[in-house]
Amino acid sequence: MERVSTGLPALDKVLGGGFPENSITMICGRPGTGKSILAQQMVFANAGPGRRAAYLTTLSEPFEKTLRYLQGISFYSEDLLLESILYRDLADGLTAAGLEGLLATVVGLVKEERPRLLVIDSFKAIGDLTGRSANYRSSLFELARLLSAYSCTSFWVGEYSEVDSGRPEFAIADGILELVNQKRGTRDERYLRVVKLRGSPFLPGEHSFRIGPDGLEVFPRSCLGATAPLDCGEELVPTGMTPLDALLSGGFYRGSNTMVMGPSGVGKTVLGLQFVAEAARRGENAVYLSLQEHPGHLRRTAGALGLRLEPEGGGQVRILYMSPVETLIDEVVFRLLEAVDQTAASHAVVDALGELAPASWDRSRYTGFIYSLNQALKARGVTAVVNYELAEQFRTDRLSQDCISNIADNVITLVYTPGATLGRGLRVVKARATVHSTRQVPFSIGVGGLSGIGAPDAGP
Amino acid sequence: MTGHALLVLMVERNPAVIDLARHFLERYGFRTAFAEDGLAALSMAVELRPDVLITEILVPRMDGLAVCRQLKAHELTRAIKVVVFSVLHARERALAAGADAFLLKPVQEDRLLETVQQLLAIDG
Repeated sequence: MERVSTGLPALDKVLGGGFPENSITMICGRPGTGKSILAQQMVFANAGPGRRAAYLTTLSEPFEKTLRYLQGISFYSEDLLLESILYRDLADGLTAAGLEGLLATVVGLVKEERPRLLVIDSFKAIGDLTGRSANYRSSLFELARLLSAYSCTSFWVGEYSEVDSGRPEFAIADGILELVNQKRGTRDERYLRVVKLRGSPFLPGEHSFRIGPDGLEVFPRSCLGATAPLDCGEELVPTGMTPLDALLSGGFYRGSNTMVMGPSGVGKTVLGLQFVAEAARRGENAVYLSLQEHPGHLRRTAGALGLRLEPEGGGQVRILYMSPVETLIDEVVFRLLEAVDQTAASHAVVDALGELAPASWDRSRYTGFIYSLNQALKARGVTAVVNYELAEQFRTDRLSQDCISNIADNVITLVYTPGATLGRGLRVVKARATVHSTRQVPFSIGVGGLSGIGAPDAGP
Repeated sequence: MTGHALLVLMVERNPAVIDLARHFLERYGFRTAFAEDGLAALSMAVELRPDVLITEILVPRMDGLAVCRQLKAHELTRAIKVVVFSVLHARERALAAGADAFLLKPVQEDRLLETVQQLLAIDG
């Protein structure tokens, strides 16, 4: 089946490659949810020499306002608009001539302009104005038949809600895409959902999106997709801390994920920096996702400890900072995997996972999200360290309070040890497929990072 | 100030813009005529010989820029002053098409009248 790209690769992924060509899709949602921006984004993405697109407005936003706001969005192109896109206001014709007149106008436009993509915004207004007409359903059917006959992929945009689902256009349409702006506590979150897409698989569920200067940016739901390969390798990856490698019988398995848990300030970030610096030293690339410290702070910390994130002739470390405020949990996964793919990174650090908990309004999704993140990294062969902050300073007996440590291949705890001088202790709690000691060993932080890690004792 | 009985032909589909433009222009003594699409505007221009033609770019059948180029290409209509009055930020494109002036919508009475008067060299 041929597809029509939305112009948004992530949304195309949700749709199984794009909207089926020659289909009719309803784009539904309350006012302000982004329907018109998305429709126009698709118009500009699909228009070009020999590929006309048409955007017909009826009785929603005044035509000139539509165009005025459009020009502030980055996908707008005056060349495309004047050469390949037909913008037309049908409001007067609809008011004066009713449904038959409007349909005659649309038919005339389709025959004359031959658009490959057609948007009618708002389609709901047509029904509101003429829906009581006895031939409303048959007129819609005629329109649908014409659009199919002329090889035109069309989108009927409208402020439809649940109560409108009995309207005939819902039965006629091949696809239904719903856009929602949902209040979650004090914040608003936007998501879209494919309700129906005839003859095509799609990714179900709520997919987050933002609206910005570039239009819509979609972040497909992360609890989907990648499954780790079944054949796990035997290669061990050095951690950058020789004594820790000794505790682990050589390092982390390549493609494994390690959760580093401990209280604030104990050294989780330093361990993460050491891990990526070691990768770079060996000539491998790494991504450090920071949800706490700005890149400048991290570089300063690394510099003070003598950890080189950009060694000459070595790999590169990309520091990806995302504010934990107003974070969309799916966006975090999207950005991290995007950075991993762009840099062909084989190592990654997430610092720190707990910052994402408030962004997950559905607690049951949180563990699913973490599992999905791990799987996506494993599928790419990425060896990952995920930091997680514990509230307790000296205890580590509540590791599974969020039911997440069981997802990790390895779990390392860092704790403070009480005494006249506050000490630090490290313990490998869990290391899948590895013979390891579980003894807590002391360590300190100095030049080089975590140092003075005690040697393992005779046995576990 | 009171204008002369000069004719302004406007190419526009938006009834609100038509209503406002008519109100302002006629209040200052201009006569007005309106066309809904580019082809109608061309034939009206030949028939009525307006002093000024004001056109939106996005009009049916022939866009405002093409109307402008056509008017300026023919001896009979070359003298008609053309104002491209659009919602698009297309000043350079309008001037390249031969327009004498460009105005960005929405309607601002002072700027509209000032532009028309300047083109017609009407003293205050």
